[in-house]
Amino acid sequence: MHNTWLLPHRFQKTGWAILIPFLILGIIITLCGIEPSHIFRWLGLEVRTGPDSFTSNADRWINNLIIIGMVIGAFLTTCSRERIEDELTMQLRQQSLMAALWINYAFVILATLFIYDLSYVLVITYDMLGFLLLFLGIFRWKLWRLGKEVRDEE
Amino acid sequence: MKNRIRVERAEVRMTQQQLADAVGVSRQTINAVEAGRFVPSTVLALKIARCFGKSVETVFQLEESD
Repeated sequence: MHNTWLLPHRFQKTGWAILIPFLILGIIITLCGIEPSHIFRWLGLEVRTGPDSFTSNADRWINNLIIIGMVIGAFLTTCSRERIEDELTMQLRQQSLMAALWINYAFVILATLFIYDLSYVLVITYDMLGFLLLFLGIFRWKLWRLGKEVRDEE
Repeated sequence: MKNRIRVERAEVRMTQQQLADAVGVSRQTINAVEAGRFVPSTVLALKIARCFGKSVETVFQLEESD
């Protein structure tokens, strides 16, 4: 099969290796309300700050790094071929994309109706990754269920 | 659509994995086709039939609901 829009399978591991740590960092920062620079200090990495320093906005730069890391990781994982990319895998991929599209934009509509002000901006910001992560979750679940059906038959 | 893939495999003593390798798909795909959960493309159906040395109509049959 010719899949011109999919990256080679080897990019999938790279994608997971980038996505998982940045996703964990992003969740910790969001849920615990920790400043990003504090995490790096906790890991023993010194972050220079100060009005004359290039890194005077350390938290902003680290936030950007985490978001870009999550996007790149999710993108690499989402757009990489499976080890065996055949027509069933393509069908599952298409179904997962459509399901993620429906769910994500239903969420956007609900958020628009029920969430306002700064909270709405934050929700829509976090939703940047929503579609990719939804697709990943649904696709992986479909592949797992397919594998389970084969194992159950054995 | 129904199929006789399992019967044909048994006649030639071929496993799902061997059939999958022969036609270039995953074992999960062959399993899904056999179970009727996935309708193969024309190319895949022709490849499967050729593996058994049979015609496509022998291996795959339309049902009334199709």
